Amino acid sequence: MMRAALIAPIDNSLYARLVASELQQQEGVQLCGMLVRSPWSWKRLRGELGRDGARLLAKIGQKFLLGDERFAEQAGENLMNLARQRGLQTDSLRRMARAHDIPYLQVKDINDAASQRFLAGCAPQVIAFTGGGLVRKPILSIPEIGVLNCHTGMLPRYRGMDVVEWTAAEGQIGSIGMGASLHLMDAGVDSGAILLKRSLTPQKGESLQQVRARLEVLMVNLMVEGVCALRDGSVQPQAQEAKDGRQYYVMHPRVREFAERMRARQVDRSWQI
Amino acid sequence: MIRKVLARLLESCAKRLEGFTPPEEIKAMILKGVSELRIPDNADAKLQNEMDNLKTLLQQLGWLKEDQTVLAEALPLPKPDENWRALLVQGRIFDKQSWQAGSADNLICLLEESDPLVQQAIHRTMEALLRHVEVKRQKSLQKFQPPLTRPQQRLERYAISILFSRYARQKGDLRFLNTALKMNEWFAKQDPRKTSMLEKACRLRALAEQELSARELLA
Repeated sequence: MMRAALIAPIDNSLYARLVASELQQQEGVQLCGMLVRSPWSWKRLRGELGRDGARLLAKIGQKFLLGDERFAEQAGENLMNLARQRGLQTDSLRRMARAHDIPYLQVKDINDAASQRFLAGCAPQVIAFTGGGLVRKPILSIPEIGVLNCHTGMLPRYRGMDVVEWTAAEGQIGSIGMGASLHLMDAGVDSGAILLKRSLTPQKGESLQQVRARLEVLMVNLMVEGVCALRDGSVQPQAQEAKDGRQYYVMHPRVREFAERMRARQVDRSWQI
Repeated sequence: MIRKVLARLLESCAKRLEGFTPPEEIKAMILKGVSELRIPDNADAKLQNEMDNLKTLLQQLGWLKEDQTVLAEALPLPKPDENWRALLVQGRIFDKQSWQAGSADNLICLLEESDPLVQQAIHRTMEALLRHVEVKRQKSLQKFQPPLTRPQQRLERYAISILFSRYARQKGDLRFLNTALKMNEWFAKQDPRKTSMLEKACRLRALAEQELSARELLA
């Protein structure tokens, strides 16, 4: 039996709910705890404002105010469609935890002493990280195997922020590709050993935002596949070399516009061929 | 319904706030700034050299009017001394978040150097500096060694922005232009309106370097 805990960025995170629900249904996997970050914290607000700037307003509108409704106007493959396909019932991790008798804790800081005690008490072999900020060493060292993170880019080449956009801007859609990588977290940024990678092919006329929506679906599947592969011992973590990649940062809107133009150039050209 | 309206409102606020100054406006701002700079005949060599650098850049950008000519080639930057080179190779140019003052110009000077040891050291320093500016944002580049006055700090930050733009062009690495674009916006908001002629010229040059790199890398 593989004991897996979950760290989530917010109680109604659809990505986290899908991962939790899927893990719950896997044979030989026991969801042994859920640690959820509270949105009501000045520290969190300050940190995210610093990182995202004005984009945080849109994020609050989308994730906090609209929740699952934000997918209503999105066509194509996305988390909401996946939730419908898989028959996801609940709109809250807290309710899911209560229904299945899974220990649950909501905290302001996922690295604080209460979080450490909670996770240590759950004794997980693996933690599925679905967001919630930086994870510090004391938490990273709790699970026997490690903390899993699914990154929306192809590791080891693209580490850090906005890597979907950076892959397009650097003209690497054809060569490196777009996709998601499941890795063990370490003290660096997306620099831990890689477990699994999956790529997808951007479609003609598909915006980078739409590609991101499809990647989120891929991430759910990859996270569950990774936990199961670790349970079965069928996957071996592959260490990353820092020299094999670069770290990327939040993209300036002017470069973002260029990235979208580059995506069109690369994807539309390949579809013409 | 109310939540949808609020979400739309936040989205449009974000779009408005996140918007950037269009390149045409930056061009107009640079040209206006240059036309307003009144360089006295007895201007010191540093200011004169800054103006020559700026005009050379405008010429490269094709922004000089027909009647404007570059009167003098800017003087090449002085080669860094051995002590500074030793600090660079030892990884001490940017140490404990403290920047060795004057290093931006020295690094620009060494960008073309072929010594692999120096190139490796430049690469390490540039990556560390990039990470620092991206993580600390408006609060980056506050500590200098030796300590600098406020105006000197601003000049050093412009020099670092110029370094990022040049390095982006030289390596074809968009990440450095990305950071230069952000730095020039952040620090423009922080800097006082009344500054010296030299500061104004440096700021305009930082913007012109950014635009030259954008023309090359974002075309």
